[in-house]
Formats: sequence, C-alpha cells, structure tokens
Amino acid sequence: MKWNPYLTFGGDCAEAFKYYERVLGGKIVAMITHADMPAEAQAQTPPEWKNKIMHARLVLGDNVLMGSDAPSDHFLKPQGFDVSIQTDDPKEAERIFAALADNGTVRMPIQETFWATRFGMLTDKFGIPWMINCDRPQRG
Amino acid sequence: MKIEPYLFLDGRCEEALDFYKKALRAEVTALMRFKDSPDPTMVHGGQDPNKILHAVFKIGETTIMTSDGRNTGNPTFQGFALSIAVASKAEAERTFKALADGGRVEMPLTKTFFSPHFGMVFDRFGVCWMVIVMQ
Repeated sequence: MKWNPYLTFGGDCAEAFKYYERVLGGKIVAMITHADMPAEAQAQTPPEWKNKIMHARLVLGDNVLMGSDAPSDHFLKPQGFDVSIQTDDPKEAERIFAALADNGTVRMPIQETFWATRFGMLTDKFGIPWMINCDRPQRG
Repeated sequence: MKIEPYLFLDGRCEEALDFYKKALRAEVTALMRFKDSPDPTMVHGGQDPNKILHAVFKIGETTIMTSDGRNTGNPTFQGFALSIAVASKAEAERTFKALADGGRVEMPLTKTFFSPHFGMVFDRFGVCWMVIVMQ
C-alpha cells in the first residue's frame, strides 16, 4: 500500500507542476488534460475547461506528488495540511524554501528549532502549503 | 529528499491516530505532547499540555505526520486528498469501508477508465481519501 498527497488547483495545475519540477527536481510523468480523456468522460466538460488538468503526476525518487484542476464551483482553498519536504542538506532546505516562497506567503521563516537545523513554513503562489525541514544530524 | 503529507487535526489527533491504527493498520512511530516540548514558547496560551505537538505514523513504507496544531477542536481539510494505491479489489473494499465508518462517501468504489476500482471517501475527521487499484 502506498499513500501520496493529491493536490487541487483552481486552474493553474500545469504551471504549478512545471514549477515544482524545476524547484524540486524529479520528472513529470503524466499531465493529462480533460481533452485527453475518453469522449464519454468529457461529455459534460465546458469548452474553456478542456485544456485544464485532469491528472498530473510528478515523480521524485520514491516520492509521488499528484494533482488536478478543480472547476470554480468545486475548488476549495487548500487547508488543514502541509506538504512536508525533508532534506538532510541545510543549503538545499534554504534553496527550496526561497524558491517556493517566491511570490507566496512565508508563515514561519526558515530557522533553527529544537528538532531541526532548518525549519520553515510557507504557502506558495499557487496556494499550496509547504513545510521544509532539515533534521539535526543523528548523534552516533 | 522525502515528500510527506502533514495533517493538522486541531485537537482530534489522538482520536485520529486510534482510528487510523484500526482502519489502516497504522503504526505510530513517534509522538510528542506539548508538555514534552523542550521549547516552552511553542505552547500557545491556554493550550492543553496533553495535546499532540507532533506525531508520525506509518503504513508499510509510507509516512504521514500530524499535529493538534492550534487545537481549535474543529479540523478543516480542503483542497487535497490522500491517495491510497492498493493491490486488489478486496483490499480496496476493506480499506474504503473502514475509512467510511462515521464518514461520508463522495464516490463509491467503481470501475473508471483509469482504474478497475476507484472511489473517494471523507473520513470522520474530514480527510478526503482516494482509494485506487492501479491498472
């Protein structure tokens, strides 16, 4: 069994996933629009929504991030969770934090805490909440 | 690098951990209460010291983290789902039924063009799960 986060966007899913691929690395292995679906599955899709994303998938090593666009009458602002990124490199933590925070909102600046050499929280320009964490080296 | 979901259960963390242990055979691998925090500034005014500052639970190789956060008593989850990929229809049905107990079925398990068995359910805490058998 595998669990993975599935994110929803108000129409900028494609742009967001391309941005995440640049910032986090990995590879987009699926970017399916409504127009790519079987005809019966898109019968009720309005024309302006045909090029919106029905399913996107970004794979980074063992990690999978999935997402789609939600029509405005279904879209709800992401709430109640963060996508946590763990890295063991403090410089990498700072780089990712700065990149994701670009035009977004910093909720807790990246800093040292009792559990981490670097920890910070932000909401990116697409509305997705993130937590960046770099644990202290384990004592031998 | 690891990417993992972090759920803010806002006061219902302990109850949720018990539920996920039963429903998803989750194993709690770490748990820290506010009273155990080495940094007292992290305990907000009036915060119940027994509430959970941070917990980690696992199913197989997958890790999810959680906290009571601001402890409002009213967790709200929107704009995302947790996708569970399982190997068989039987496992999908067992998992879906367990998550739906006290929750709300959004889309019953059914055959779709992308999966032989797929469904969506909001559990009793409001977390949306997508259960899928991969083709």
